Amino acid sequence: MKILLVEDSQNYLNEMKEILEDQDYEVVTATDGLKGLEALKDNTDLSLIISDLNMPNLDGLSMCRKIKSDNIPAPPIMMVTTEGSTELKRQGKEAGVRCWLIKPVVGKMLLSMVEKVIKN
Amino acid sequence: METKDTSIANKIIFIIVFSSLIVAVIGTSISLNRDFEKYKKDIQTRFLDIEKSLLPPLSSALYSEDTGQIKNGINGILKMPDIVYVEIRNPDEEEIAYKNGKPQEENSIHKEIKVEYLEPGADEEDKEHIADLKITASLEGATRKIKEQIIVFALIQGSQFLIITILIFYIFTRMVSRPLAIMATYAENLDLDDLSSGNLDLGRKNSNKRDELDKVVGSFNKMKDNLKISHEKLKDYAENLEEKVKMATREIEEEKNKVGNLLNNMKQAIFSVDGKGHIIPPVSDYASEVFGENIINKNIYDILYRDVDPKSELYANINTVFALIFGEDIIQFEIAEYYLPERMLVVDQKTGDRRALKVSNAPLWDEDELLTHLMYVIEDVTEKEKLELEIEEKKKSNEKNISIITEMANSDLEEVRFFLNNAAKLVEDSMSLAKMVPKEKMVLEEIFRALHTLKGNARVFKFDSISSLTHLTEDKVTTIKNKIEDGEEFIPTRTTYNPIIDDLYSLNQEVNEYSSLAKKVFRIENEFEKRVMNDVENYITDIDNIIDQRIISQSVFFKSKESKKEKRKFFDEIVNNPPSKDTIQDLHRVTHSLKGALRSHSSLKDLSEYAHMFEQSIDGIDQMKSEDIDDFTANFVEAIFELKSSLGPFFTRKESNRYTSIFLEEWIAVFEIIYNLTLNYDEKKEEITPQFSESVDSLFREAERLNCALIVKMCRDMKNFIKKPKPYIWKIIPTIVSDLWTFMALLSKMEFSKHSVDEDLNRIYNNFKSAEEIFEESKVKAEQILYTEISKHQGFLILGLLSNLQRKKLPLADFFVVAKKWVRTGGKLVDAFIYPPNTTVGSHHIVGAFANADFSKGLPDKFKELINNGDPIAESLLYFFQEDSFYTYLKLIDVSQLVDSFYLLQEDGEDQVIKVRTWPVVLKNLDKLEELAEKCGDDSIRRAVKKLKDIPVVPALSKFKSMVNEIADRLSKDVEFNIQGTNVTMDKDSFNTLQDAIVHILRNSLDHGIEDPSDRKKAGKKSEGNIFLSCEEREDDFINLVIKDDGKGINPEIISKKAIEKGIYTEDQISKLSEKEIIEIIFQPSFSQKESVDELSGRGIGMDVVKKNIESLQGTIEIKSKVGEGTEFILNFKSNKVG
Repeated sequence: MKILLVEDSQNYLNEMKEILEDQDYEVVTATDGLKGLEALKDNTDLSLIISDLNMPNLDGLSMCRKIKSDNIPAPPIMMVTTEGSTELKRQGKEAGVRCWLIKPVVGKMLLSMVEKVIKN
Repeated sequence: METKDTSIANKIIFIIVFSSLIVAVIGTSISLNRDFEKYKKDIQTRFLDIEKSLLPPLSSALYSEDTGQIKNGINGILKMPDIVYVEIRNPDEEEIAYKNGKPQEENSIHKEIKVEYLEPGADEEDKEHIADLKITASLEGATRKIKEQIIVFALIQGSQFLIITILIFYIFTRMVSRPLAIMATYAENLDLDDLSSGNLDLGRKNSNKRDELDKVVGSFNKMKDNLKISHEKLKDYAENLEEKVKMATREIEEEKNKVGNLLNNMKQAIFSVDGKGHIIPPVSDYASEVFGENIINKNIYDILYRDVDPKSELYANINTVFALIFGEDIIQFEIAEYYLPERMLVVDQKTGDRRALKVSNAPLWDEDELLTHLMYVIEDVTEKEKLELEIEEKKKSNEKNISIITEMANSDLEEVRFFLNNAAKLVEDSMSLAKMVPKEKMVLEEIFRALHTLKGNARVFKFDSISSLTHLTEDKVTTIKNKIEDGEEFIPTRTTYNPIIDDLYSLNQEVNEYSSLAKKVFRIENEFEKRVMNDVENYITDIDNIIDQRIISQSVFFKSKESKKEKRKFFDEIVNNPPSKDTIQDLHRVTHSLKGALRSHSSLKDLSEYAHMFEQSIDGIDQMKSEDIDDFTANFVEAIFELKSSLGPFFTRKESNRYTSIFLEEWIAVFEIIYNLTLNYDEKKEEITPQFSESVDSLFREAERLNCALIVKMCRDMKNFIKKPKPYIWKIIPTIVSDLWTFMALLSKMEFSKHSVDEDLNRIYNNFKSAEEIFEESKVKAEQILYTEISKHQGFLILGLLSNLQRKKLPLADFFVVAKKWVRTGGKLVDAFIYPPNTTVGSHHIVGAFANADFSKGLPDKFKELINNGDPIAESLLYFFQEDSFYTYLKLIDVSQLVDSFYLLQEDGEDQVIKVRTWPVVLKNLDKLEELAEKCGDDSIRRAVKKLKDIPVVPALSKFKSMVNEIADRLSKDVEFNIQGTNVTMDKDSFNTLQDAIVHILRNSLDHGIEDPSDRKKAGKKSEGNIFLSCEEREDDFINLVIKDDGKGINPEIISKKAIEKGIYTEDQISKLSEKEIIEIIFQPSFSQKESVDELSGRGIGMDVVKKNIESLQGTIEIKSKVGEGTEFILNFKSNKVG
């Protein structure tokens, strides 16, 4: 299973990467939305994208919109956010976000949810 | 559609008549037509006849123009039937030549005939056409005839129809319509609720042949029967259904109730919220209790999350969760769920109490499996958490308690008591000294000595926490003392002493903890509190007396609680006869003292509030107005009542000294209640039945009436425990029941001792014995034996009980079954209740009673010994017992202590339990014996009891063996400690004093006398050191005790040096002292101090205590010491023993 992690905070990226790799997931990382799109093009065998919401260059939602508008084939997207609002949720839905993770992401929960979304 | 009733017969008649009419008309018409045609044929025939017969004459006449003849011919023709007109014309002329009759055009037949004439003999061809004859025949005759025929036909047909109609109508009505109508009516009137009416009967003649109607009726009736059956079935079912529905509803209701109850018990608030956080109904009832308000339609943020700081991360998380989950799927919910708090603290808006809530969330989905509502299940776990915390704390303190108890149980309890009292006093003394912020070395030394003694003693008892705490404090004292010694500029201040005072407080607390446990478990009372207790008792009595004698009579006072009227009476009496100033002052004084006393007692502290209340009410008692009644009585009366009832349990001793019933019947009644109580106790069911509780209540009442404090207490305990959680009950109740039985057995036995000379005794014993032996094989036989016995003699407790059982037709042999289960006997049941035969009644019985009652096994062996050895004093003691053995024992044996201690230790090992159970009984018995002995005034008895309390010195000192070994181990020294001595005894208090001295001597020997193994070897000694203690009694009641070691001895030079160093003596002074005198410097307080500090021992520490203590025993102490060989302490002191 290959997962794309898009996250601008290196610490956070590493932390999640570690958690996922511990469970034998293959993890591809990108530090902003643009790089995320590139990584998506380079890796066609992704099972899941986990992306941060606020990132420089191209934020998470915009990345999703781009994927949608350009018809880029992509796996389900989990968006990570610190706080949510119904408006954000609506926008996410439009942009094709599968579900929202809440920061700080807890390892155990992250894993079980990743597993569920991939299976789903 | 509106319908009209009509008859089938009418219809049938109409159809029949109509169709037959048509048939008849058609038939008749055909026949008439044929008649008409025939008629017409007849006329044609007639025409032919005319042509043949009448024409020739006529033609001749015409030929001849014979007019007459012509007319005749014409008339002849006209005479023919139906011929109505005849005319003759010339063939060439239009004109009618001859005519007769009336011409008729209609309804007639015309015939034109050529009239020809042939000359006779002329040729046929020469026929001459002479005229044309036209004949008209009328058809009126035929018409008339047909008309007649039609009329006849109509008549016949009409009458025929009439007859047929009537017939059909009759027949049909009779055979079809009426039965049908009956059937219809019957069917119409058929009531489904009442099908019991008769069968359908058309009222026709019975016939064997059944026509269609019969069949219909049969079917109908059959149908009705079937209907009836099915209706009944249906009805039954309907009724059952109703019942079933009711039952089901009831069950559901019950379930609902159960669930409701369960929920309430679980303390759960259940509700759900929508996307905006609004709480929507239904909401479980408990919710309003949890949140203190009705929460429906409120917002969850104002309810559950009301105390969450909006700036907190938690609040942000909750917000996020709420923003994300609604309208989303399970994955989103599961992600978010994690961030919802599972435990919330909510502040109760009314009380301000904090409630701990356990919160569970569950999603509610719509058809598309998207989340619409969030369900909350909230449990109030405040109590639970509190309880868990309590349990945790209790567990911890229990662990500590158990270790303390173990320590105490391993020691002589009398000594523990002495130690604890002493310890409290030592700490108290040190504290008051420290609080003075002493600047003098001497005072610090005083504190140090006190602590050192305490530490030493604590070590003997292995009360580790006390000894180590003391050690720490000791260090701090030494530090200050050294500073004072060293630096001239050092002036200790309060701050300097604060750490010491803190330590002393902790120490005090520690000692108190031991004391309170000792009190609880071993009934060891703090001397001080004992005194306080006495004071309290006295003050209360004083108050009682002042009130009764100088204010108002007891009876009015007591009654004031009964009714408003009595209250008023009581109040008025005080108002009318106000107490004098002196009385008020006295009352004030006593109450004030009472208050003080209560406050100083650890267990009674809380009661001082009542004393205060009472004190307040005394003010102005002489100037009361009518409206003061409620305030005054509430304070004055209630306070006293509260005080007395609260203090009641503390005055048990006083209670038990009151008169206790000696009437056998009353005790038999008690025994019977206990028996019944046992029957009502069902171990298997694991629940307390109402009957059992009732039995306990009645036993309680009866015991109270008889003033049997012991059973009262047991009942009180049972009543308390019945309310407690199950597992607790099932551990305790059996013990109490068993105690009750054992107590009754003991009473029964003591009672038999009174009747020792009675020859009945042997018989009773033997009969009971044989009944016991066979009751398992044959209840009947056992029953008979017992029955014979109770009918012969009833003057005993056990017989009285059996007699009562027998009167109530209860199986007597069951007594054995029940008793065997409950009485602690060690196998022999009857022996527990009755003295065996051939035993001379005497000391053995008393001893035996104790011994057989399991709990009193611990009665000191020497008590048995004394009596068995025929000790004259013991004999007089025996006499004392025999005087009133029955109720002496009621007072003497206080099983309640045993029960108490058992509760406390029940979780623990068996042997420990036995230990704890044994000691207090012995101690208490001895105390009570002493009390009784004091009262009886007989000196020999008093001495006897006192002697029982004497301490055998050698065995008592044996406990130092373990202490010596332990200290030696710590010091890495090899020491053998031996004790030798004769049967020396001494007074208990004196022994305690001695003991303190011995502790110090042994310590010094270990510390400074015995050398390290290596040093000993160098000195050419065995590596193992020896300490030898011997003691013997001298004739003058003095004891000679020697403690000798083979250590390095006391070096007078070192002592001298130190004494000079410490400034006790000058070099000059020392030089004048003898060696012995120099060695004895160690007994001087200022010498006994330590330099190097270790927990175990100082240097020469406490020798001043040794000297002081021995002197207090009117004794002397002498030291013999040789450097390199060892030291010998020779103690001579008074034993103060009684025996």
